Amino acid sequence: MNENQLMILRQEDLVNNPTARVPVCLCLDVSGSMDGAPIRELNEGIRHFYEAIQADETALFAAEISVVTFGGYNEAVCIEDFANIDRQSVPVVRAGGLTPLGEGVELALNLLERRKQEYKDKGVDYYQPWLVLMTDGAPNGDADVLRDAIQQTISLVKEEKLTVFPIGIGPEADMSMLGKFSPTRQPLRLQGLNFKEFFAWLSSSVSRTSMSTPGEKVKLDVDGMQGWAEL
Amino acid sequence: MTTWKVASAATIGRSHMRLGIPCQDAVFSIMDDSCCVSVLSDGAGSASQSEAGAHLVSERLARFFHRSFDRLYQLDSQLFKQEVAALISAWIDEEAESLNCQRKELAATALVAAISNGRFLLLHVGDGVIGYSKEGITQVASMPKNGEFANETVFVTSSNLETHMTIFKGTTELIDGFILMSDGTAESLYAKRQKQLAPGVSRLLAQNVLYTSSFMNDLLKQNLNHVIRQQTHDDCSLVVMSRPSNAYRTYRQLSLREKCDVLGVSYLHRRLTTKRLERTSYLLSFLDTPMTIKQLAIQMSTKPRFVERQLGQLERRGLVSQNAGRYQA
Repeated sequence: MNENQLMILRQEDLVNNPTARVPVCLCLDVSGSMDGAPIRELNEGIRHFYEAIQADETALFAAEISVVTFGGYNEAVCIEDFANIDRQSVPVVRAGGLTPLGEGVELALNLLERRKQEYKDKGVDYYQPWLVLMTDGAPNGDADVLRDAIQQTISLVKEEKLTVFPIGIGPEADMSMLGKFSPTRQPLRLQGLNFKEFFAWLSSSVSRTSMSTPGEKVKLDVDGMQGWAEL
Repeated sequence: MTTWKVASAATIGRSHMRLGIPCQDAVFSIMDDSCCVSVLSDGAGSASQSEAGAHLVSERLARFFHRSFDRLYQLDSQLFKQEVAALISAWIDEEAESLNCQRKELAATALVAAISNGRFLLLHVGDGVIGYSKEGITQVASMPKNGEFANETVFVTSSNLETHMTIFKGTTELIDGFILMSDGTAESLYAKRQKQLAPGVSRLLAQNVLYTSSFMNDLLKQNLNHVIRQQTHDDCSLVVMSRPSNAYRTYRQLSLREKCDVLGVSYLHRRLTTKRLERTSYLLSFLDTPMTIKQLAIQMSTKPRFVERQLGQLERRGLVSQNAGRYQA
């Protein structure tokens, strides 16, 4: 290069395309059995997740989180809707009631679908959405809703339109039920209450995905799972 | 003789630098008096031999378009696509066999611009953007072919390749520029929502006419490294093709003030500056064909030492290039 170090392009000559988003929905069991240490550790893990994303310059602009809880009297509630993490406060969940797993997944899938449409309308690129499903028991909500939620999830996963992470908490988690939501990936059981380790792994996986380029299939960090999953 | 000028560059992305993976973008150009062809290819991130795929696609396609321009231009679009798809497929098979890998490991995109005797051909497979300039107004010719998700696109290794090809042909009467960019570069130079090219594209096309190709290649590389790469994790590549027009002017067509800017001389001392610019224009007027210092000194009736010093200044400013002791504007 010559001594003048000429720059043709200045910042005002460029366009500012929005960062491609990775929508992640945390669908969390807050039934009565989660009361005590599990819900405390879960809250600590969620806080850690938000902090880890905020500390990662790539994930910070790419990750969009929503949090759905299922518990109470067959209640599925969105306690944090999709938005850039900078505009959200860290949600705190409370335990109590039943385990309406189907209702929770149904709401999560609806939120993910709505968000994808919003991206399309605004011309924002996005990656395959993630559904993180965590429960410590067996579902006891509406059976028809559960069946529909399973079918809908399976069809999205098979069409490569959704990535599901089914996670069992504690020895009572119904792993075969979780497995029904995931035709391609085995559900994993959390080691003890290692929520913090799980969410650290999740945030680094979001970061890797947000850096992937066309044609690149993002490989999950299997070694990193050893810190939180019973493999 | 073609008046089109071509410059190109490719640079490794921040993500590949961190992971120690080579640049998977490739650019290749061929040019002679009647035809110039440039090809840009972006290797797929997940394919193990995509660097080889991108180099194969860019070089072979450039040579093929250069060799067959007149015949391709006459072909019906369906036959054109079928012929190119069959050729690419054969090259991929051959390369996969020699590298002992699967075809999909050579996955790469393809963006081609070929110009010959007032006509052009464009071909596009996959993501990235092909743009053009019509009387100085830049527009998008072919948009990225992405799937639903940000990391999905088609490649030259995709099945039914001809159905994924976009081709254009026409005359260059009103067209004064083309630009090919990979998706990494498109992050900065293509507004996805508005489907428009960035204002910087016109500047690139204009500077390409002004400067020598070797200078412009360096300039593009520097701009990719210091400006474009900062907005993406991906590899970045770019091909700029333009010709002199009302919008894109050569040095001789510039105003006095613009010439001062290009040469880096003060506009304030008008008398001195005018003398210097006259000397420069006089020297440049001999350099449409390559000449040695001695030949120039004889032509200008001056000392070789003086010619050498002046050529050195113009070379550093990108207005003159030197090849084996011969200088050309």
